Parts: sequence; structure tokens; C-alpha cells
Amino acid sequence: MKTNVITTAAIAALATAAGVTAAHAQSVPAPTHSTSWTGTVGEDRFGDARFKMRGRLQWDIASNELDFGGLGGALEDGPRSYTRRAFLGVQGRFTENWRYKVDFVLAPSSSTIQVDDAFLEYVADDWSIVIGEHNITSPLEDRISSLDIPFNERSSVINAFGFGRRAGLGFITGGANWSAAVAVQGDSMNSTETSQANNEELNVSGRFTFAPIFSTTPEGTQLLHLGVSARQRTAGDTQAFGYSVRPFNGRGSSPIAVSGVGDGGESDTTYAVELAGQWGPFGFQAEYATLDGETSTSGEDFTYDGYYVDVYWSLTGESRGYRGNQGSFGPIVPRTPFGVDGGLGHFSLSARYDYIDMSDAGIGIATDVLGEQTSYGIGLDWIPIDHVRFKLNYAQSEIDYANPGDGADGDAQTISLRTQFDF
Amino acid sequence: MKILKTAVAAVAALALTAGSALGQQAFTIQIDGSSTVFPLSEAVAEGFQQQTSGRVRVTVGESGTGGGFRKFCRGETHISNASRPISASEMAACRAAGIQYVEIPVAFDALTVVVHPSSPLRSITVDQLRQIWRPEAQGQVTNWRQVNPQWPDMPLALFGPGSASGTFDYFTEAVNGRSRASRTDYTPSEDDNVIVQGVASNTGGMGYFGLAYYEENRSRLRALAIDSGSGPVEPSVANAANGTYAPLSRPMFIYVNAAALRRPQVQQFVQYFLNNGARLSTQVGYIPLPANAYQTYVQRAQRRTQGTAFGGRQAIGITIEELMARPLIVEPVQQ
Repeated sequence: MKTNVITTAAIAALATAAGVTAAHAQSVPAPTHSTSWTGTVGEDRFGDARFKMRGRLQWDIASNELDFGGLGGALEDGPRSYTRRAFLGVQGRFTENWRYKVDFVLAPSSSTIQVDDAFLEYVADDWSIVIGEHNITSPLEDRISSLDIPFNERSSVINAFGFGRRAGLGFITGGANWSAAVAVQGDSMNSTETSQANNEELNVSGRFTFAPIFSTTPEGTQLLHLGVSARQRTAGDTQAFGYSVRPFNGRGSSPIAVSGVGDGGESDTTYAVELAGQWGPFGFQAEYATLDGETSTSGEDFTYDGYYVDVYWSLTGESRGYRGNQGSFGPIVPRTPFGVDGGLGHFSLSARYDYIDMSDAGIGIATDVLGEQTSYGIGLDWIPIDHVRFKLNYAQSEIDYANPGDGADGDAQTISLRTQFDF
Repeated sequence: MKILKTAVAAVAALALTAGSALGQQAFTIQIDGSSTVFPLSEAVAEGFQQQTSGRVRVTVGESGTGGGFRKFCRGETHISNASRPISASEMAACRAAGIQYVEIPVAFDALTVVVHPSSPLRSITVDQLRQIWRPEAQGQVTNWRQVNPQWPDMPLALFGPGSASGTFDYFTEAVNGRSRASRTDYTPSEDDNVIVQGVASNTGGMGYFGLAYYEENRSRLRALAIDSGSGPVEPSVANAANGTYAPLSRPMFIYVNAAALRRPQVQQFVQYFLNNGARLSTQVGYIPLPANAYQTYVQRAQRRTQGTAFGGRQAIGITIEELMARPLIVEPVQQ
């Protein structure tokens, strides 16, 4: 509508400038199709329908000094670069209520194109139903887009406990400062299993968030976020659940890993609690998760748990963007973009303490290595303009193995610089 | 590693220096929104800055009611000027971003329909306005004579606000029966001075905007009396105040970020606005609220009472008494 008016205005202005009365412009037919700019790319509009391309690229340069036994052995990696994520997708809506989003994963997937978010959504006034590949019940850090997570990689518990997207049905509702979501999901859409004889995995999960303090002004956001989530899942017939952590790196060796091949989790139950806050330029975020599982072959029980605590300081004053009806954080938009009025963009410093305990016996076949990992990480972020971000991370990790046979205790130093943009 | 430490230290030092420099600047109240409300807010801002001797700065933008709410609901402004109530989708956007607001009517406007001073017209009925501005008139109604055989044989040259304008939303709902339903083959601008210029330089010109812009340009334009069935009524302060200028008499608002009202500068500004609202409204050509209404809204600002009296919907022809009697709600009313 706006564009129709603007287009007509431009024609009318030209007509007036040429000494013709605006009445001559009145024969211009009303266009039914228009393009409007939302975010960084044009959005096609046709009546109530909307359609828009989207995408992201994350390219990392990383250097790891890994000195541990277990699966990785003693490794010293020099600097190398790699594409951490390359997504291309679409989002839109057929009507005000029926919407869709599909992100195709072009990298780091090896040979086949996979999907990230890929769902149809029916949106009512204050609830919606999601059908497809989604993670609406995941704990906080998994709900935050990879574009907006505070460090280059998510925390050990979020990575190790297999949070992420699966295909199925979800329901989410919420208000200004709370959200509630439940989901029933099977395998990921990216599963390559074709046999009808094999059962797929089953996930039943839920999450509830509440922000007793949440207000935003131009000076910043005041926020206290609380959240709980739970997930019960049973593995499919072909492969048990695996669990593995890396020392703050996106590629390379895992010092602690349960492969899921041969043994691994037949079923597990996860509980997680979330706490986050923002006070103008200062923020924190912490999550604790515990997982109780049962092995697929021996039927033994095992318990893993872990947590992380982050603190953030925005040197240029911006708060992290929070979405009360989703219980999740969004992008940080620089107050003064780089190059505008002498602006620097957004700078922030972050620090993380990250711990995971996967030393509980129960799984112990040759390819599995159990232990604890403790990591300390710091980060420097620069967002020169909205949609462009550079993230420099440094982390030290200590690994204690549960079984002497797995190798001597070790440590790791990782440094990584991410360049990312999205549209 | 040494390089990393040095880089972190350098950036931190730089940012701290920049931060402390910023901290020494005067606090700036950010206002944006309706171009109709702009002259009033601008007059208030000038007076307030003089009173505070520059200790508090006020910037007033005019990106239209819709454009103003977009910024307000992203937390970029303290106050949004509006010539219509907040819409349901804007309520949802504010809500998702943790922005609570206090709705404060500040004055009434007589939305004024103007023509070229050489035009023989003196009044127009709401039905005739609809014949000219409804979507079906697009490309069809192009001559004054098509609306009334008595009117001159002259091409219509239409000028009006753009779609980000609250005046556009109000006029289309009041005249065409549906908000934002309008022919689009006219010359739109969010800047009312462009509309003034367009009508003043076209003998077949017609346009609409807030009364203040007509008052400022009386010598160059003619305002039409509006006949909604009880005879023509001139747009004027008196006729808007006594409720006879229907359906184009409407309240104008400021929406204030409720959390920002805890800041003394913002609270003082809003108090100054309401304490001087009557005088400055008259000065710029709008219709002041009754004194008891300003009293009510002074208390509303002090108590930071949140919500809107409209539930995301327009109310055509509402009077200040009706408006004051309405309860405030924070959830949109279902359509």
C-alpha cells in the first residue's frame, strides 16, 4: 500500500515537475503487486501474502591447541578457516494467519542440502501451531539464533545433550512477558533413514518462560528472565543417542564423546533451568541442564549435567534485544552505526564459565570417552552496522577423564574469529 | 595471545573514553511521529528547552504516526506523536519489545479539507468526499463536475498524506468507512507543507490535513465546510470544541514510554506539555482540551497508568468526555 502510494507520488511529482497537472497521473492503474523493504531485502507483497528471501553466512578463522588424550589425542592445529554456516532461505505468509519459513543449509553439510528451520505455522492472536522442523521448546541458548548467540559456539550442555531441531508438531502461546510451548517430534527432516520397518525417535518436550521485570526505553532494557524446560525422548531403531562436547571450537576433535553407535542412550530425560538479566549495557545469562539416560545395550542408567554462566558488557551502551512472548534474545542493533556521525557501531565484551560432567559410568565401550570439561571463555564483539558482526573468542578448557585408560587429563586453547552477515 | 590482550585493552579504553564523553552530554528526549501533532510538540519542546536552559534537549521528528510508532515500539524514542490511537499491530509490537506506554490526549484537531482559493465551492458533503476519495474512484472520478454537475468543469488535482500518516488513517475511516481504504492516484506526502503547496498551485486542487496547517496558510487556501447531514459546518476551534464539526473532529495524542516517565526529565517534559497544552494548542491552531481533562492526564502521567482507551481501534467522532470516561486496556480488542 505504502509503495503504491509512493510510486504514484513519484509519477505525480514527475508530472507536476514537467508542468503537467497531477490530474494526468490519475490514469495510472493501481498496482496489485508491490515490493517493500523490510530489514535488508525487499519483501514481495501481493494482497495479504508476503514473500522474502533470507540468508546468513558465518566464516571462521580458528586456531586450536589441543592437548588431551581420549578421542582426540594430542593435537596442535594451526590456523585454518572454514564456513561455519551458510544458509539460504525464504519466509513469508499466504494470509495473515498461515505463514512459513524454510532455511536451507548449504554448509557445513557435506554433500546434501539440509534444512534448519522448515515449518508451516498457523498464527492466531496469541498462540500459534507449528508443523515441521523446529526447536520451539529448546532451552534458552538453543532458541537464540546462531546469529545472535553470545559466543561463536553454544555452551557444552546445549551441544552435548542433543538440543536442536526435529520435525513434528508444536504449540506456542505467550503474553508480553511470558511464553509456553509444547512439542511432539520425531526424527529430523534431515534424517536419511528410509526403512519403514525402523521406528523413528520420539521427542516430547515443553518450555515455560517468565520475565518478572521487562521494560525497554531508549536508554536500554531492564530484564529478569526465568525459564524451565523438559524433554523426554526415545531413540529410533537404527541409532542410539550420542553425546559429545568440544572445547569451544566449531570444528575438530571432541575430548569427551559417547558415540551413539553400538551403545549410547536408548532414552533420556532432560531438565533445564534458565536465568538471564539485563541492566542497560550489562547482562548475564546462565543455564543448568541435567540428563538422565538409559543405555541401549546394557540398560544401565547414567546421569550427566552441566551449566554455564555468561556476563556481558556493552561498551557502546546497547542492551541485548529480548522477545518477551518467545522468551528469547534477538539481535543487538547499534545505536550509532559505524561511519554515521562518527559512530563506532556496537562493541561488547563477554565472559563465560562453562562446565559439563559426563563422567558417570554406564557407557563404556571402546569408542566412548567419559569425563568432565571446564572452560573459561572471553569474547569481543563488533557489530559495525545491523546485520554485520565480527566475533573474536578465546577459551581455555581443562579436561579430566573418568577412566585412566582414556588418557591423561588434558587442556585446550582455542581462538576463533567469526565474520558473519545475514539478510 | 598478547595481540588479543592488547586489542581488547585498546578497544575497552576507546569505548570508555567515548562512553564518558557521551555521559557528559545533556539528556535528550527523543520524539517522533505525526506531522499533524508536530507543530504542537515543537512549540512545547521550544518552551521546555528555554525553561530548562538547555539542560534537557528535545528532538522532534515527523515521520508520520505509523513511522513514529515503528520507532517507539523498537525502543528508539521516548514519546510518539499520534493523530490516531495506537493500532492493534502496534500494540503487539510494543508488547513484544517490553514497551509499556501511557496514552495522553493533548488536543483536538479539526481535520480540514482545502481547495484552491479561486474555487467557487464553499462546502462539501461527506458523501461527496467519499465519491472523490473512495478506492473505486481511482482513475474514474477525475473532474469536479462528475461529483456535482453544478461544480466547475475542471480536472481534479488531489493531494493528501501518505500511508504512514495517522491523518490518512483517520480520514479514510471517517469518510470511506474503512481505515486505509483510499484511491491511490493522488500526490501523497508525509510533509503537510507539500500538500499546502500542491493545492495552492493547482486551480483544481483539493487536499486534507490538520487545522493548524490551514491556519498557517489561510491566505493561500480555502477550507470547505463539512456537511454530514445537518448543514455545512466550518472547520474551526469553536465548532470542533462544541462537537458539531463531525466526523472530522478528532483527538491527538502523545504516547509516552512508561518506564521513561520515571526519568525526571521526561516526566517534567510531559507535565510541561499538559500545563501549557491549552495555550500552545490555541497558538498553533488546534483545539485545547477542557481544563479538567489536562488535570486528569497530569495525574495519569504521574501515576504512569498504562494502556489505551481504544483497544487498537479507531473511534470516529469521539468527544473528550467520552474519551475520558473510557477505561484503559492493554490488550487489543478483537475485531
